[in-house]
Amino acid sequence: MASSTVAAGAAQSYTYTRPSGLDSGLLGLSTSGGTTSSGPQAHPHFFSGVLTQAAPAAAALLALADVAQTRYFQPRPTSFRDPVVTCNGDRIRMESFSACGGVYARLDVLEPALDGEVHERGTTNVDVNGPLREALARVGGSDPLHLAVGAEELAVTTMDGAVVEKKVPLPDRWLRGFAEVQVITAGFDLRGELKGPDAVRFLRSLPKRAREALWVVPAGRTMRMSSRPVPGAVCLAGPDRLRTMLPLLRFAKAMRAYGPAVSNGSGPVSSVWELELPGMRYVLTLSPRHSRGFSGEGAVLEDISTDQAAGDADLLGALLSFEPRVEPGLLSERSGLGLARTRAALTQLGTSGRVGFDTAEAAFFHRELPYDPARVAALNPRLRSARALVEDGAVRFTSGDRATVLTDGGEREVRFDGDRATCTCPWWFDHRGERGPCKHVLAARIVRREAGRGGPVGQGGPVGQGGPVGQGMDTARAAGAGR
Amino acid sequence: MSAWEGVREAVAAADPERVARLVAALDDDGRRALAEELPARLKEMRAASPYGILDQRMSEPLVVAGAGAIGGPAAAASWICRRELRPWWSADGYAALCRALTAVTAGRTDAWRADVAHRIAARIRVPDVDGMLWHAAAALCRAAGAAPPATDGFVVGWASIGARPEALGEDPFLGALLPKLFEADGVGAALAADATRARWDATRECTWADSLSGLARAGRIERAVLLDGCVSRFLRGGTPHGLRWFVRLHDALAPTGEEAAARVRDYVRLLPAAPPTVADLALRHVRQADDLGRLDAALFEEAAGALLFRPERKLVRAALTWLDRTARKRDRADATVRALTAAFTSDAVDLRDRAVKIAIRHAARTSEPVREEVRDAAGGLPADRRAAIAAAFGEVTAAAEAEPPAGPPPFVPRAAPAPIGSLGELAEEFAVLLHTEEDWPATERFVAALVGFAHRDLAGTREALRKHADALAPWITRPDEHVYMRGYVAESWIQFPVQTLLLPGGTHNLAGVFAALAMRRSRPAGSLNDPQLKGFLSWRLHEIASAVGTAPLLLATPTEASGHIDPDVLVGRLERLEAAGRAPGPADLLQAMLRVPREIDPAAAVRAKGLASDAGRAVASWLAAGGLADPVVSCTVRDAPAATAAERALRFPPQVRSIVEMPGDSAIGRLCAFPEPGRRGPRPHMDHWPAVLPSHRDVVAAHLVACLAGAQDEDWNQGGVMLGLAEADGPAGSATGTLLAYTLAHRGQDQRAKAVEALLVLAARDALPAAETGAALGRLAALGRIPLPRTLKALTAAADAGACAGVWAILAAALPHALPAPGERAPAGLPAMITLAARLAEVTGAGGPIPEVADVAARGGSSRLVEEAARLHRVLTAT
Repeated sequence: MASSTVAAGAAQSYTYTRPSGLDSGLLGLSTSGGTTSSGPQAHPHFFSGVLTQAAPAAAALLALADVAQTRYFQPRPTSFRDPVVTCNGDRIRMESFSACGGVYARLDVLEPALDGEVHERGTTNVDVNGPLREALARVGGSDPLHLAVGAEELAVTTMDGAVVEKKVPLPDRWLRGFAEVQVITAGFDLRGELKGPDAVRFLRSLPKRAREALWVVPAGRTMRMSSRPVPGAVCLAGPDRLRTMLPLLRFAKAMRAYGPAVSNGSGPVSSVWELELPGMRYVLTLSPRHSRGFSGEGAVLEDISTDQAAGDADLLGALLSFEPRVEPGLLSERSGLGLARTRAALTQLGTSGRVGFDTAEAAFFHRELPYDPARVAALNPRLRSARALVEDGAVRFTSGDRATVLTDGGEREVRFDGDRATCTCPWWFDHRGERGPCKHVLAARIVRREAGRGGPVGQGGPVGQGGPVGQGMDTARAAGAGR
Repeated sequence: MSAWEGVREAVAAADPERVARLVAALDDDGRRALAEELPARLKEMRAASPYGILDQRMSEPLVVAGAGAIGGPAAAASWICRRELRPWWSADGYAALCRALTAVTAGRTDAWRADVAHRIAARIRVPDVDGMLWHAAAALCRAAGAAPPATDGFVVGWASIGARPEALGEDPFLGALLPKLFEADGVGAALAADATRARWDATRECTWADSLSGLARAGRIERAVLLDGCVSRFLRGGTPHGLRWFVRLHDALAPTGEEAAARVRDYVRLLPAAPPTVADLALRHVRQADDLGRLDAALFEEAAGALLFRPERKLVRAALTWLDRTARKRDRADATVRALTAAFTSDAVDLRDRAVKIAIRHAARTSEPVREEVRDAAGGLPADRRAAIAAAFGEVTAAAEAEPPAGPPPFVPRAAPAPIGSLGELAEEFAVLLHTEEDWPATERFVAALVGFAHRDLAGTREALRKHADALAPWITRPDEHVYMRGYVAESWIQFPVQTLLLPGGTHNLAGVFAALAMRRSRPAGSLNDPQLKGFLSWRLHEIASAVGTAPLLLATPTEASGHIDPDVLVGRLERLEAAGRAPGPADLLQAMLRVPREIDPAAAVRAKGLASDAGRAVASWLAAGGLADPVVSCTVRDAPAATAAERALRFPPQVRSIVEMPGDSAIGRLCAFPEPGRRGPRPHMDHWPAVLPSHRDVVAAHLVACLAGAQDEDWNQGGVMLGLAEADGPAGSATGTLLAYTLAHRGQDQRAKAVEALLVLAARDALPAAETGAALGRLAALGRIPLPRTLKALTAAADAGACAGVWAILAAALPHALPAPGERAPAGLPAMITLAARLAEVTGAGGPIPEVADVAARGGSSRLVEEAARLHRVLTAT
C-alpha cells in the first residue's frame, strides 16, 4: 500500500501519480493507495465515464471539500484531508470528515448520474487541490463533464512523471469518529422531509450564529424550530454546520432529516441531514453538540467487543465485496451465523471502519478505510481504561446490582438497573449516559459478564494504585469536569 | 581556548554582528567544535536563567552562532527555528540579525543558503507568521540570489510583514511571489485590514491594493495576472473576510469592459454561491460585458436564474433592475420574462410584486410559448396580481386554493417527572443537581423526596447524601471553611435543605424568619424592597429546610409540569398529615392553595369537607370557593422610564408600569400585590415564579415584566420564564403581552426561540394576548426601545410554524402604534414589518382596513414605507 502511516497518531501520507484536475471537460480524480475487490493497489482505477449532472456534482464535491477543511468548533485554518472514495459498482460514494470531528459528510453519486464503465470496486483517497476547486467552481450550465477516478491513461498523457505527495496530520480521534458515525446512525429513522422550495426556505431560515442545540419538528410544509425536544423532533446542534448545503440549494429536490427517537427530556443527539440532488445525495451527519466530536460518543462501547463478535466480524469481512447494500439476511445465510450475530458483527465491522451506514437506504455498505486498519481498530481509550481497572481488581460487587470501583479519584459506585447502569463519577454526572458508558460502568460490566460465564471475578484482591488507569482519557476529562 | 569561549562574550554582549565576525573567522575545525558545543551551552544558559527562559537579547547572537557553525543545512535550519531562541520582538525589524546571518554564511555556497532558507520557510505557520523566521529566510534567500520559497507561510509573511506596499516596485520577491498571492491560503485574511492599516499605521503610505494597481498602471506588472488571480481566488471560495482584500484589489483595478467580457463566464459562475460582496462585484462586471453585447443567451439565462435565486434582497433588487433596463435594449424580452417567473413564488412579496410589474411591462414583446409559461407561473399569485398578469398575458387560471395554514401545533402538556424512588436515586440526583443549573421542576422533585426520605430514615438519608456532599460540595458540610459560599448555599434549593439535614442545629434559619416576617407585614406603598414573590420563595425554602427530618411530606409539591396540584392529591396529603398529627408550614399551605387548578374537581372539594384540622378546613373552603379570584392586572409601557421611586433616584428605571389590584390585607393579597417600583434586574429563581401562581399567569407576568422590561440584551432566561408563563394557566393580558413583546425582541437567538415557542403554546391554547402584545410591540418600536429586525425574525418563525393568525393579529395591533406621524422617522425595519403583515394578511385572508395604514398609504411618494403600506392597504381592502 502506497499510503502509509508515519508514526502512530501522527500523519497520513498520500501519494498520487499526478494532481487531480479538470482539463477540457475531463474531471480526473487521482487515487492514492486503497483496497479493491482484487486486493490492495497503489493507484486503483475505478471509473471512467460521464457525469450526467455536471453542475450539481461539481458543487457537491466542493461542499465535501469544504467540510474536510473546516474546524466548526473553535475555527482555525487546518490542513486538508483528502476525501475517501468508494466505488460500490452502481454508485460512487465520497466521504469526508470535518477537522473538528463533529461533522461527517458523504456524497453518493447514484446510478442515474453516472454513465460510464466501472473498472473495479474498492476504496481509496482522491486528491483535491486548489486548482481543482477553482476548476470545479467554473463548472456550470449544461457543460458535459467526464469523470475518471484513477484512470491509468491520465498518468500517462500528462505530466513528467512527477508524483504528488501530501502529508497531513491524521489524529486517532478523527479515525475513531469515522467509525463511530456508522454505529450511531445505524439506529436512525426518517423524521421529516421537505420538498425543494420548502427545503430552500427552511435551510435559509436557520440561524447563522446559533451554537446551541435546536430541535426541529416537522410541521406541515416546513419544519418548526423548537428550543426543547418533543417526540418526533430532530436535534440540530449548531445549525451553522449545515452551511455547506447552502450553495447546493439551487439544485435541491428535497431535504430529509433522520434521527433517533427522542422524548421530552432528551439531551442533544446526533442527526443526519440529507439533501437530494439530481442523481445524487449529499448527506451531513452532525454530532450532538458543536463542541463534541464523534470520537468520544462511545456508541461502540454499549456492546463491548467480545471475542465472539470479533471472530464473527472477521468472517463477515471476508465475505464482503464492496456491496452498495449489505443485506444482513443474505449475509447471515452465507456466513451461517444467526441474524442477531450477523447484526452484531456488522456493528463490529462499523467500529473498525469497514462498513458505512446509508440512512437513506437504511443499509450498511462495504468499504475499507484507506488507513492503517490497526489504528482504526485500536481499542477505545475508555475501553482500555476499563480493562485496566478490571486487571487491577478495582471492581468489587457489593450486591447483585451494585459495584464499587476504586480509582485514583476515590470510590465510584456503579448501579445496574435492568439494562441501564449509572455511576457516581463526575463524568457521568455531566453526561448521564449520553456519551456512552463511563469506564467504571464498562469495567463493572466486564466483571459481571465474566462472572456470568463462570470465569474468575474480580473478588476484591489487591487494588492497583493508578497505573495505566490514571492516564485514561476519562480521568483527565473527569478532572476537568469537576467544578 | 575553545571556540565557544571567544563567542560567549559577544553573545553576552547581545551583539549578533560581532558574533558573526568571530564565527566567520573560525576555521572548519573551530566551527565544527562550536557546533558540537552549542546545544549543551544553550542548555546551560537556560538552566542559569530565571524560570528557564533565555535572556531575550541573547537569542539573536545564538541564532547567528549556530547558523555560522552548523554545517548541515537541515541542522542549521532546525537551530534557527528553535523555539527557545525565538526573540519576542525586535527593535530594528530584525535588520541586525539579517545582516549578521548574511555575513556569517558568507562562506557557504548559494545552494546551501537557499536550502536553509527553504527549510525555514517550510516551518512558517499561517496565520501567526513568525517575523524572525520570515526575515531569516528572506535574508538568506536574498544573499543567495535564489528564488524565494513559495510556501503558504512565506507568502503570507511577505504580504503581512515582509514587503512594504509603498516600495513594492523595488521588492526583489515581487516577480516570484505576486502570482502566489492568489494561491496561498491565508493571504486574504492577512490583508483583510489593508485599508484600515494604511489609516492608522504611520509607516504605511499606501495600501497593497492601491500599490499593486498603481504598478499595473505603470506597466511594471501585468494587469491580467492580477485580474485573473482575483477571479480565480473568488472561484476558489472563502469567507467574506478572506475575500475582502481581493474585492478591493479588483475594484482598484477597475476592469474595462473588454477585460470583463473576456472573463464573463467566470463572473457568471460566481453569481450563485459567492459571498454577497463578490456576487455584487460579479454582477457589475456581467452587466459591463452585457453592455458590450458579450453575454450570450445561455449565460444570460444562467446569470438571471442564479441572481433571482439568491437570498439577499439587495442582489435580487439589482438583478430586477438589470433585467428591466436591458430587456428591450438587448432585445430579449422572452428570456427576461421567462427568468422573472422564478420570482413569482418568492416570499419577499415586495420583490415578487416588482417582478410581476416588470414582466407586465415587457409583455407586448413576448412570444406565445413564454406567455403561456407566465400564465402557468402566475396561478399561485394573489388575486389582484393575477388579474394584472391576466390583463397583459391572457386568462390565468388560479392555482388550486392554497391549503390554509395548519395552525399552531397542538399544545401537549409536558408530563411531570416521576418522583424519586429510592435513596440511591436521591443521592445520584443530588450529585447531578450540584453540577447543573437549578430548574424548578427538578428542585421541587428533589426537596419533596428529601423531606419524605428524611422523615422515614433520617440516618440513612444523611449517610447517602453526606458522601457526595463531602466529595463534591465540601462547603455544605464544612461551612466554616467556606464562609464565602454561605450566601450561595442559602439561596440554593438543593444545597440549603441538604445542609440543614447534615448539620442540624445550625443558625441557618434566621434569614427564613426575616423572610416570613416580611411576607406577613403589609408594606408601605412604593417601598424599594425586593419583589414579594422572591421573598415568598425564600420563606418557603427556609421553611422546607427547617422541616427536613420532621415533616412527613410537603403539601405543595406539584403534580403537573405547569406547577398545578391535583386537588384530590392535595386532600390526600392533608389527610396523611392529619393522621400523623402534624400541621403544614404556613408557606407550604399557602403555596399549595395557590397551585390549585382553575377547574376544580367537585369530588375533591367534597372529600376536603372531611378534613378537621385548621389547614384542612382552610383548604376545604378554598376549594369550595374555587381558588383565588382573578385580580385586576394592568401593564402599560411608560413614555419615559420612571426616574425615581419613593423619592430615590433609580439606576435602572423600570420602563413599564404594571399594577395588580388585590383588595384586602391577606397573605395572598400581599404576595400578589403590585406595584413594587424597585429596579430592573434578575432575581434568583425567577423561573420558579410562574409555578408560584400557576393559575394566574398575568399576575406573575406583572411582577416579572417590571424586572425584565428593557433587559432584552441581558441573558436572564427571559425565554424560559416566558415559556413557563405560557404553560401556566389563567387569563393572559397586558402584562403577559408586554413581556412576550420584550422577549420576542431578545438579543439571544435561543431566548427568542423560546419566546416563539411560548407564542405558539399560547396560540394553541387560545390564550394569546395578541392585541396587548401588538400594542406593546408597536409602542416599544416607536420609542426605539426594541430593534425591529430581530423581532421580525422571531415573528416570522412563529408564523411559519403555524401561528399565522396570531402573528397577523399582533402585527395589526402593532402597526397603529409603530407607524410614524407625517414628518417623523420610521423605526428601522418598519417596512419589512409591513411586508410581513401583508404576506400574513394574504395567507389568513384578513380584511378590513387599518386607518393608520391607510393614512400612510395615502401620503404618496416612493419611499418603501409608503409603498409597503399601500400594498398592505390593497390587500386589506381587496375583499
